[in-house]
Amino acid sequence: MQDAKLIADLRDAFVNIEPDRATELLKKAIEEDISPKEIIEKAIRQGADEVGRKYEACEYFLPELVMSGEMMKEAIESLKPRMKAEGISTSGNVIFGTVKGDLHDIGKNIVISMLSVAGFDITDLGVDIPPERFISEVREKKPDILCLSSLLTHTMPEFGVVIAQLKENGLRDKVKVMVGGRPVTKEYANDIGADSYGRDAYEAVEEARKLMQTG
Amino acid sequence: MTPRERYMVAARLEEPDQVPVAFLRSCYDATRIGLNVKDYILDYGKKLTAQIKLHERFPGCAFVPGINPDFGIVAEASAFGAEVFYYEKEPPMCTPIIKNVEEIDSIKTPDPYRDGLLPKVLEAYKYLIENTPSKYEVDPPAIRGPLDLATEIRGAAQVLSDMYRHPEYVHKLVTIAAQTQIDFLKALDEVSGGTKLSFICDDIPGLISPKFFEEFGFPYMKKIFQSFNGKLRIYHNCKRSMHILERLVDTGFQVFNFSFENNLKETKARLGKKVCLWGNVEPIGVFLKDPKEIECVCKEQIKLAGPGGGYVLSVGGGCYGPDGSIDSMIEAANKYGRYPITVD
Repeated sequence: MQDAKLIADLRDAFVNIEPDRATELLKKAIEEDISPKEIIEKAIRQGADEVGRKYEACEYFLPELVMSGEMMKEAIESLKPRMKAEGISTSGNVIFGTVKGDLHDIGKNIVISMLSVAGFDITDLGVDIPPERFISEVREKKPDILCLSSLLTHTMPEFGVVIAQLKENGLRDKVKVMVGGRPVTKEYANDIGADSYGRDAYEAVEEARKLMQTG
Repeated sequence: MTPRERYMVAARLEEPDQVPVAFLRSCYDATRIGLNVKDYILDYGKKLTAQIKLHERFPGCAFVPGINPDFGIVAEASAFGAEVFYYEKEPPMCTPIIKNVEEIDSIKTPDPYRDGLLPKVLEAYKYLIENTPSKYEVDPPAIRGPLDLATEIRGAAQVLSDMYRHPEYVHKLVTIAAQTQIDFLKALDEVSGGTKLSFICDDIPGLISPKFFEEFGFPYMKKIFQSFNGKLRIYHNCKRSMHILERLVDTGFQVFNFSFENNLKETKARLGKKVCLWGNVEPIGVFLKDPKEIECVCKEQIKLAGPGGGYVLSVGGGCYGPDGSIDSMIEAANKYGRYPITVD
């Protein structure tokens, strides 16, 4: 019962954007030996869902999304040693980057936070990434999903360039490709041959989960 | 009336002869005529040629700012030391320079006559004033607002989380950003002998809560606009801003270039008597598609926002679009936008 109260308080600290309180409660939860799985499922993911609901309802805005994402990502990082010790596996491996010619990273960073919260292991390549770098990273790290981000209409065609180079290098069937960014549409994603598209961070997480199920 | 004259009448909340069409100018002027964007930015003669060609191709619409020393969105950030990256077909960009929040303590307000690209903007402005044919208006460039500039030199995600973790540093940074813009606008005023307009672009207010806008946005935007009373003050925000509409207007601008994500009918009802509305056709889903659809959408926009004046038809975010789309918008304004508006 006490554990349940602690977990609920921790979830509320994430939802109410109280970083100091969340750090304190997380420390207590670890000291009291509550399993990382329970902390992630009931405090972090439920907290993330509630933050998402508030964002959709315009009760929360981007700072709340960014800040709660950072808090949850930090919490997951601090739980990682115990997750590894207890054999808790990740939801999947993701390589993420903003395409060549585009230096925007805010959307990418939010999606990365949300994917981390959802249990994905992320390699963040950063911004202005040339197609060759995506190819070499896919070849070396063998991720489940390659996420490509673009905020500019004139850098969106880079998605297609990366996909074409994956094909040329015999890697297209080795990795799922998800694309996103403010001007990107589902129709555009289909046209260029991406496997998936996320309208926002929450949809991106759902789509990533679906991609992992389809194998 | 010329398109520019129509725009200025609408800016006074009056009815011109017809609803004006105007677009926010951008570095894509270069790519339209096959110019490398870096050449467009740094070669003032090519900049002038590209901008004039756009006027010649589309005599039925205005471009605001008019002929201007457009350096994209990097000039102010470069003055803080941000490295500028140039591309052949895309606007230049720069990366944030403040890694640790404490570094904000050592940031100084730049000198527009000395730092980064700002002296080049002033030099380009002088060149354009001296070399532009008199039938065209020469304006100062659109500049970054205080929060936009803060995110360019610190990083967007960092500024947004700093609002929670280090609010005192956000205030410091935005204070310096606002002063930079005031000093820059004053320098533009000095080299030109008096500018006619001040054009501020700041998208970040649309992304933050009313509470954070009051704290980190409102006072600084107001300070900038108050410094330029007597000029036409224009504000661009291509994010949804329905949650702070009235407070945005209280900062003191007269023309509002706003996002397609804002509901036009509600925006007109709430702001139509206070500021001129400039927008807001959906820039990708509509403006890049079927010209017939563009005509229908423009007709509806004119019907909603045209009556009474104080309205300029345009896209809501982004810049232009294909030639055919611009032509369709101009034709729609000619067809449905004559005052008095009688669209069914």
